Amino acid sequence: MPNIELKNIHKSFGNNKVLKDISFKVEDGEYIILLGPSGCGKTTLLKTMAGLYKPDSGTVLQDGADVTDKQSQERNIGFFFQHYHLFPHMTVRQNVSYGLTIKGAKQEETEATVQEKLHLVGLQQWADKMPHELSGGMQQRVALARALAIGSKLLLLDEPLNALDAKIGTLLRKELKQMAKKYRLTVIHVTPNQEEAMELADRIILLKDGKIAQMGTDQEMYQHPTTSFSAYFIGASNFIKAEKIDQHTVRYRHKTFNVRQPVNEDIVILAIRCEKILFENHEHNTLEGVIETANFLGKTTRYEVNHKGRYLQVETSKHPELKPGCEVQLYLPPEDLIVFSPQQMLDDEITVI
Amino acid sequence: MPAIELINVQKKFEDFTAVSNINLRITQGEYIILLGPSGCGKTTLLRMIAGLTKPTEGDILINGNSVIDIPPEDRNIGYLFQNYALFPHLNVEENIGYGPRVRGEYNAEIKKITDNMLNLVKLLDSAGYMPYQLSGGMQQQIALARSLAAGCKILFLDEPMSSLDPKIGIKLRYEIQRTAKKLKLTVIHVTHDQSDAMSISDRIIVMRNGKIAQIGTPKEIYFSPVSPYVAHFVGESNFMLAETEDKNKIKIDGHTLTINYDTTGQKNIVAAIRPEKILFEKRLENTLEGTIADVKFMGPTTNFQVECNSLKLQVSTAKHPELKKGTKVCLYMPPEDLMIFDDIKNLEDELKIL
Repeated sequence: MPNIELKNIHKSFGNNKVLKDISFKVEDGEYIILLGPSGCGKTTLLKTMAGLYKPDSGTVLQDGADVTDKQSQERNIGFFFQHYHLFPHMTVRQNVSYGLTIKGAKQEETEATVQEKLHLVGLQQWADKMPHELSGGMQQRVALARALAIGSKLLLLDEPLNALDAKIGTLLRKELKQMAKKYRLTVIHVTPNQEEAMELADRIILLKDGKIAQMGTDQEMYQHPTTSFSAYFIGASNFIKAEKIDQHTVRYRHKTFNVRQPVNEDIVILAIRCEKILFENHEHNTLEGVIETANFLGKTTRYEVNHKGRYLQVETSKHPELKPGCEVQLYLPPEDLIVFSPQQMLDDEITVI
Repeated sequence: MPAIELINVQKKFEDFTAVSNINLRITQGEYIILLGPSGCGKTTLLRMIAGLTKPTEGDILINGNSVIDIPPEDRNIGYLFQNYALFPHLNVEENIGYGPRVRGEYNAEIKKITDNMLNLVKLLDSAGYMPYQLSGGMQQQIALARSLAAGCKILFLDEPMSSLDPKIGIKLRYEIQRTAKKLKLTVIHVTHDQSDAMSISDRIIVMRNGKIAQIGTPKEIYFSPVSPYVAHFVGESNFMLAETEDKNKIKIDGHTLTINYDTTGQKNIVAAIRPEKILFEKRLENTLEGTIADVKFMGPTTNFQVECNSLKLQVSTAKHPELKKGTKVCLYMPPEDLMIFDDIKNLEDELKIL
């Protein structure tokens, strides 16, 4: 039963510390998403798990055995990497069956597997084409089929849906998840896309600057972000810098806000999800503003609201009639305000109002 | 007078028709999105308007004048592509000032233009930085500023967000829209991402197999798609094969549903409904019973897969996060939210994007 465990992994390239003390365990049959922005170390971490990089220190355990010093090919892992090219002189079918052929699998068995994997990625009719006859997105799907065909129970995927058309990527997510569960695969999948993470993951590991920012199920991460970076990166949030009045009250620009969580510092950062802000007027927890822009998104509408020169994002499925210029009241319910210490501000990309 | 007009534009590569018979008028200041999957002809169409590819047939007018024989550099169009393509050895200010400098503007004028542009993209503080010191999103903003420094009133964007992290891409798209509106630019923006298309465009042109599948505002496309394909490609939809019973009654899976369409003269139709339009409610009409087969938490909403006899329906709602797999539920489909299409021989082929 495949499981993989990392203990205190460090990895540097020159002076650049890419991974800083990473530890976690992936259980048998789990679908893990390594999520984070460009440069957070997620691909380096995956390559370390694959045996393509050796960590500077720390241990990689696969099924309980120390494999830190083992070469990639000795580890029985299926993997898919970006820019992991197809063999140009082989047909799609030959590419997908390559791993099985060198393992000496029977021909009819190989053929059945190839058919199944090509069907999964929607390319069964392209089996006899050469890679150069396919679009980039199709080539990527062939590479994914090839990684799956090897039949390893442990699968490492580096942004497998990334270069694909958005809609195809969304459709393939569902297929990938179903397949992983059907064959009881243990999957570690790298992506910068938080929606993809929410849809696929049993657990998400969110990385930031080579460290784990938070680890948990999608619901835990969404409902209880432990760092402001998780509140920023997963879903969409507003960040407000406020001043403590007492244990459960803060002040922001002459307005009082009640919060459920305790306030332990003089200055705190409040986070609130865009969809938790309501167009309502209450005695407290309310800011007035003017609609600056309205963007129809289908299921919902996204509003940018100008509160005295500072901007809040609100997303709602109601009020489709609000137009730019409309004066509104924004109610920020106490139970939806998450309190962070200013030291937990982890990223320059976060706009704090 | 439209800013851009296409009359019967067609492009063939040997036997392959990449773009067929496109007629289109784009108003000055409009933000147009060309939306479609890889290979639908959207980039070919953009390249023809830009002058990088010549149409096999038809005419292209910019501000009322045919530009068929005018080379791309004289069409006065700004571009932004997937790869930012900044000059790596020039700093931000020099990158933006490159065009004006080549044109022979005075230093004072160049400085004025670059400051204006940096102000516009809110990156005045980055003037002295080299491209490699900036994030991908910022580099794209600088590339946008550079392409606008020439003073073009028409801007073409070809997948400008696709090499960025999604989070950064979403931020950039609203910045691009804001800039375009501020300068009253006429924009044609090519993308395969329907959420980009919905959120920032005035009108969307949905393309498929070299043809226009539908043109309309985001709301028209979303609420009144002309075909199951459009309903499937833009947003998500549940499709149900139905028989007509009366002029505004249809039968799905043994249930009679009321619709807001007159189906007189039709025997079979395809009905569709968006996952967020189905409500977990029991009403006197339009209510099916089913069992929750799968639950997926998606943050603001939860997605449910519900099995009603032979139907598998997706329901998306923020209201009932507590519902679990195996729960029996009633599904109410409001008549006004049921979209009705003509019968299609092979629905699977119609919906195929791959």
